[in-house]
Amino acid sequence: MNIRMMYPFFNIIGCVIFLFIGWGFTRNDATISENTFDYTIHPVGIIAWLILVALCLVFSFLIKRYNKMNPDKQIKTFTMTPPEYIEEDEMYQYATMKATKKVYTFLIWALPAILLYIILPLPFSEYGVFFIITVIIIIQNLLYFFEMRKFKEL
Amino acid sequence: MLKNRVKELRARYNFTQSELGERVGVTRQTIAFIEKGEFSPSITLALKLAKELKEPLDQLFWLEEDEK
Repeated sequence: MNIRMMYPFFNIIGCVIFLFIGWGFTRNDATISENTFDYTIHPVGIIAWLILVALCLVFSFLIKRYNKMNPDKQIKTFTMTPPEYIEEDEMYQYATMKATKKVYTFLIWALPAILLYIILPLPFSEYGVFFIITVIIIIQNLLYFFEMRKFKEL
Repeated sequence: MLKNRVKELRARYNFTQSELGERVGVTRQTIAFIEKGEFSPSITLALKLAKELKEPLDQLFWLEEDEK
């Protein structure tokens, strides 16, 4: 498994977990009385948080293993440049450019569509923004993955 | 469409895709995609390939009209 090819799936899993964390931590279970403030985190939020920690550990392990097997093209665990960019040579630079262009084209339509959805008098759940952003992240990562897959190893 | 004789000439010199890739500074996958005609190399890479395969550039790569 090429971890850099699979990176969009880690993004998707991470964002879905964040969706549950967001839901678990922002439910309206806070009660404020005169002298006390009670705040309950839904168990789903805590479980999702633990799963995220486990995922980060697995991810760090996979990166370490990849770096050990590919000492000449090591990737950093945390970096500003998305590790899914594969730019080893001109073909992969072209593939990355095509994939990022596709994602950009999607975002340039999706982001104004969200704004429109928010300002229009449509039924709107308080978790709607979480949900929509997660869906956008999923689509964006799938677009990237399927474009890069065209250039997978022959 | 860009056609090429990379595969034929690579076989003549007994290079693997990895070896040829290493000689011209690209990955094995890029050589494989060039051979299949699914990736058109830059002029720099095409010249490097022509040099490694000891063939004039226009004998290594040429344009062919799309079949209609």
